[in-house]
Amino acid sequence: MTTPTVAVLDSNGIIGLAKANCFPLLQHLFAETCVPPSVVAEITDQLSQNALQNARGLWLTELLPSADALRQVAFINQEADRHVLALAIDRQASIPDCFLITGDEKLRRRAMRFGIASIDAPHLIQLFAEGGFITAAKPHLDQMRSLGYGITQKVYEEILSRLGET
Amino acid sequence: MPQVLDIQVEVPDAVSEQNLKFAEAVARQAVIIALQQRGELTIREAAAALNLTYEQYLQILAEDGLGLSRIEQDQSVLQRLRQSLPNHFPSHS
Repeated sequence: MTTPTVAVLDSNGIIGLAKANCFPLLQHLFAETCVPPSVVAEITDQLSQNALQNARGLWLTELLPSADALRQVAFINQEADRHVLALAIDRQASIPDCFLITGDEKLRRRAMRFGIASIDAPHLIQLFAEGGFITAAKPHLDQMRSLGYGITQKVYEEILSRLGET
Repeated sequence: MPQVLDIQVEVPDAVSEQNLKFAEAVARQAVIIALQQRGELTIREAAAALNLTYEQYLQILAEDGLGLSRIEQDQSVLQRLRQSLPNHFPSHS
């Protein structure tokens, strides 16, 4: 049996997965994937824009957070930070298995206070490889790094080691 | 009220004004990145403090060999996702 899951995308998750050429694989891991318009608006990188455009309306939904959820995060000063967390709060109310796709530590901690778990793009690549959605993680992680998405050597080696890749 | 981080560094008299300004900018960037990496600032807050776009800030992290944060990914989150798709992750369910 499959448990319904929802992913709320932050910019770094979109950018990382687009650079890894793995963005469309999100639809296999999550029953629902959504993003607030303020996050979409700050993405100017062509690869990520194309990835968003190809997904929007098919398996990716652009959603505004509710006024109620926004009130709960009104203390956050950056609009897109506020919107991405508020949208996760909204979606978690319908689907408890809600995940924020971000590697932003402060945002992850804030999400955790609302009971929302987070995962970053490199570890999604690990899951895609474990699940057989890609044949190996290394080429995708290498491509992310070469296109300017930072992955520390420690995280890079840990992921490849867990997968038995060298 | 925001706190102010005041760092004083003694430098030789001969250091030019131009190089002092450059060093000050480098130090300011290093402080902001250090705070962001430890989860004291979000990526957006750090980018705004440096007058950079979100993507420009990510690029700086990559150029410096840094990840998005120094904190490790919680492995229990991966396990929850594996359990949500038992057909793809049978050995973890």
